[in-house]
Amino acid sequence: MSDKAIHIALTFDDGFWAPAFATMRSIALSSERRADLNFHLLHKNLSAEHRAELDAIAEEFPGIRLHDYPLAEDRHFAAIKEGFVFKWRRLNDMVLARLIFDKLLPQTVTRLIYLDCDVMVRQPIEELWETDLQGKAVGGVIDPNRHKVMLGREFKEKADIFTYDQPYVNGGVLLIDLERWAKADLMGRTAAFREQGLLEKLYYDQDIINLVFAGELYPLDWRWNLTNALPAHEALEPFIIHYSGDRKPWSLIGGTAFFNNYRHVMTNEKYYAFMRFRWRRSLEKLFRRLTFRSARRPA
Amino acid sequence: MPVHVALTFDDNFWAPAYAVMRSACLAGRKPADFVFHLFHRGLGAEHRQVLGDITKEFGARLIDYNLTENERFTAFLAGLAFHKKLTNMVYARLLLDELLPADIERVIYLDCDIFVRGPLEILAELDLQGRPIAAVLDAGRHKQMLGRDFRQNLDLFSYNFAYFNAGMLVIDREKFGAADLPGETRRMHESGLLARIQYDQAVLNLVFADKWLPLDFRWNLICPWPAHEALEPLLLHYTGHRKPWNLVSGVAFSNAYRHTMTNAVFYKFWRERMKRRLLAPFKTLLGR
Repeated sequence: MSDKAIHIALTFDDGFWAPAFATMRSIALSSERRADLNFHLLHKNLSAEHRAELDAIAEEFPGIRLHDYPLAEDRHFAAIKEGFVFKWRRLNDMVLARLIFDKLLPQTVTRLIYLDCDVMVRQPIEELWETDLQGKAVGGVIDPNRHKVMLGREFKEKADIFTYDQPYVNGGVLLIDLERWAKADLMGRTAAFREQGLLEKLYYDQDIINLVFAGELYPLDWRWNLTNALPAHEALEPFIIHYSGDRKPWSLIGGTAFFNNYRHVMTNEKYYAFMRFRWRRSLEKLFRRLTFRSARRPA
Repeated sequence: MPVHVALTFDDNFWAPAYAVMRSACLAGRKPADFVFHLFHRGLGAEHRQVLGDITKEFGARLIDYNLTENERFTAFLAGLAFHKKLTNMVYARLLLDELLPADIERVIYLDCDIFVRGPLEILAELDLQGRPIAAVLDAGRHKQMLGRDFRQNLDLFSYNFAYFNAGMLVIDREKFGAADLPGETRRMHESGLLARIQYDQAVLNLVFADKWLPLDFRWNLICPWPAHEALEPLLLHYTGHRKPWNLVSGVAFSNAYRHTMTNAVFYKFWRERMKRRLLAPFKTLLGR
């Protein structure tokens, strides 16, 4: 990987193979530095068939590199997971992988863009990559829906954890100084939150990031992470559309910003393949329920 | 100082054209200085009389250009294939330099599905910084430029190509004329390129690539939703199928639009469309 490399991490499981593809293709389409793009794919239970679909990115845009981190097969990841002795209902493998980016990615990666897989990028990603964090550890967009997440029901539940006016970023788009991320020891801090009796109130890794990096967050322009994106937002030329609400652009029914564009970014072939995949999965799930069978264990 | 505004429309669009002019006059600082250049293929006498009310109410001038009688326009169209979307009225936009009186240096072109809320004098007096036109980036550009799966026309456009919406153009007459749009259009037609690009605004975008001045999105807000009202858009452009002259539209400022068009014109236009729609099956049956 060259010094000019741009590192982007995605974490997803087999159920998100096509949105992960769309996120990558949106970046590839809009970037002027395609040869510098490195996608770090931290995935779980990704079928060989779907993994092969992702290769279309490198075929269509030569120079782009995809790096795989199959979490279920990763001994290092398994050992870290094993060391995490307590249970937390929100600690799935995807969340854990994000907390330990610094341990999973090569040490040469010192800066990282993390993206959720329900985002579509419209602006050259290098502009985000080159943002000066001004000494802060993590860049993110202030989450307009933060208060309910931060403070809980009636804004009382978590009043001992967050304050109303505390800067709080959405975790779906992050620009990370990975050396600072490593030093912050997010796993250790998570264990400490458990000892303090706070863990069960926390909202996935987003709360942990906001707590650990309080005072070290760099607020990005809102256009780098437009959450709950609606058609009315289109005229404002957002840079990254984050389909964070219930309405997803891969559904047949629209109502989101750039609904039609999304299908063409995912490509029609993969859009409809993903639709058939979801339908088949739903039918299988229904069949299992009807026949009282347990979920099929992934191979 | 006169403010020149050009509209191209046919008789079916007489009422929206009236609304464009009335909204421009209402929002203008000195509407008596406005000169509307109306390019059409002949208008019904009754419709033209309603348009004339603009002069009575605001003192603005209306100048008609009936293009069915225009030899230059007819000659330009001769042999030129018609795209379903590229009607001959669209070609009038490309020919503005040849059709307008020689003494006009600056003109504002407006589509007729527009509602003006800001003073057009600002655009008329705008410093174009040596550019031939000023316009607004089109938020829906990617699909228009690159087509299915964003893989078409990659030899013409790229994802980051700055592609404007051509529904509102601030035009420097001299530089616009120097671009030789009629000649470029003909050359695109002869090379087969014209058939590959879906919309007429692609012609303008190809000719003026990297040469236009981008304006704030509020000067041409496309697909206006009610949520946009608080952003105080200066010019709304009702692209898409939701139109403010429908009884139910769900667009921004739909109520203000009706009062700008005036209720008498709004309902007369509605009755005409209903009548046309009801008569259409009979006309088809009678083969007329």
